[in-house]
Amino acid sequence: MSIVILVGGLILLLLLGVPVAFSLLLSSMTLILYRGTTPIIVIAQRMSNALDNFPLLAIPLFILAAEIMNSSGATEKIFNLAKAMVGHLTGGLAHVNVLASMLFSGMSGSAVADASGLGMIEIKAMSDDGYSLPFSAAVTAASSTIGPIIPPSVPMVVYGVVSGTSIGALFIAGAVPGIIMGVAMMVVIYFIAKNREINIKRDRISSDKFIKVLLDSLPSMFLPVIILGGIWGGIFSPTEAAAVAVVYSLLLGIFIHKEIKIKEIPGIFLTAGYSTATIMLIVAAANLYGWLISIEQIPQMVQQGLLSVSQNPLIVMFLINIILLIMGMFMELIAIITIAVPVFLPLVTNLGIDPVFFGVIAVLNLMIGLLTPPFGLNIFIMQRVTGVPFWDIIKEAVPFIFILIGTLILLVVFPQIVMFLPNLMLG
Amino acid sequence: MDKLIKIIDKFVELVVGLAIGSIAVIVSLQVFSRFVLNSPLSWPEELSRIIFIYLVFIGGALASKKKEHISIDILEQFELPDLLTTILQILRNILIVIIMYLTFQGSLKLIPISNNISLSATQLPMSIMVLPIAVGSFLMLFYAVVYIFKDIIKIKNS
Repeated sequence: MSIVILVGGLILLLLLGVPVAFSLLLSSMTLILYRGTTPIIVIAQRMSNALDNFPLLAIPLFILAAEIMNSSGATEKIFNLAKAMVGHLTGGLAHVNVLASMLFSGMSGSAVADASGLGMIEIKAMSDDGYSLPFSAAVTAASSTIGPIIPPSVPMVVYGVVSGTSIGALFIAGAVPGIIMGVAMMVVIYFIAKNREINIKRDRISSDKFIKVLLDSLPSMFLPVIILGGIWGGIFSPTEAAAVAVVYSLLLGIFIHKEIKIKEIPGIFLTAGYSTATIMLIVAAANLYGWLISIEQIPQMVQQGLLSVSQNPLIVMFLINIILLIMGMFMELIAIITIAVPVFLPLVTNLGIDPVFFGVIAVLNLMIGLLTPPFGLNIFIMQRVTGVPFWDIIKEAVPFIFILIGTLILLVVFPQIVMFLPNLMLG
Repeated sequence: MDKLIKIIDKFVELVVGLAIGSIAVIVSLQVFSRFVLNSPLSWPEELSRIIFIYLVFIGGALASKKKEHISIDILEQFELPDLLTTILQILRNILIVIIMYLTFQGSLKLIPISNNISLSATQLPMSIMVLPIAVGSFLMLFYAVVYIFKDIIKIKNS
């Protein structure tokens, strides 16, 4: 009965369109009242416990820095740099879309923010150049999933806090898989463009112009260098790096690019403020939900169930990935990380799998859920932005969903691809 | 009523803006003190953690006002009649009112208990971390009620 209330109640509420954080709280609270033995102060206790954690403060600061970069014109400059680099290839602006997302992901950490911020510029440029709107929307939705894999990353911060894993190590481990995702998407785009005979050709930009575009974007591109260099070099904690990123992007926007006016700053702060709140309320509510799951002994049931199928680490990893993929189709990813990681992690570490590796795999896996029906959040955002029906975007997104699954399988089978960089840098 | 809503809107925006701004300033200050003054301070971390909880719960109220909470718009795919959409909206907000009322009650009960525990660096009572949950859940409840009334008026007028 308890499982029915927790799981069934949650699914029903989500289907009704009740926001994720409230759905988690409502289904948890229903179980608490049904049991009748737990005092209701637990709701406030679990939520404040979940949030009282210094590394989580990296999240509002990274969101704020990305918001400032979006308003400072830095996003356009990065887009122009990507255009100068790959705009002349077959499938030109679709490649630019992917590369710009890769470059921008070095400063932003949330796929949804990338889809709505940089995504607007990408879609407009693509449709101006004659690409169909559904294809442009699908490429944008797909390319924005790279953001949380390439550091910094909001989901990785949450994973690091929930699992007690070094966020710095997770950030390093995400770099290579993120680049692989980008390259794989560009290969897909190349073949689609060839197949449909999309002959939108741009000339290769002259080297004088290229240098101008490069210099123009250099101050913005220096930001990921500060963030990642600082964390990798052990100079800053991720939270401190995020604060430095805020200060740097603010100085850049006000004094170098001169595109941010002082009176715009409150608006930027408020947007970053409520974006943070929507994510963190889910973390807080999911903490209560996860606590009830553990009281109901569900983690043990899942772990025993998985081990009864196989004790081979690779097979267990595949099973966990299938479960995560299905969960990702029906739930919000931050909530899944908060709830599912404590369930799977003891099993994963017992089988000798590195929690850093598992973190990268889990986040990449859950990114796929942003593109799949019925609840693909990125597709919904694209639908809202472009007006193209949900299923038309999904149709165009299918090749990207498959290439992401392919990337995921590759990484699960060859963990060295993920782990070689952190092992090299952290010893 | 409209005046009250405006005052609350302003209060919420002020708290959210100040909270995220001061987190940025305090954490930067911590980096500065560690590198330039070469003496790490202990209070900034604790203070920024306290402010963070205010940011999340009062920010949650701002998200309620702006209808920006993350939800799954699956029902919107079916082009339901306007009346049904509005009724569903009212139903969702009633559910939010219920859960925010319970959260508010829970946090009020936790405040006196956590009042006697003090935080290590700032010596502030632990209840200072529970207070924003009470205030935030009350404000989210408030906005849900406001939207319920707006929807009822909408149904009456149509």
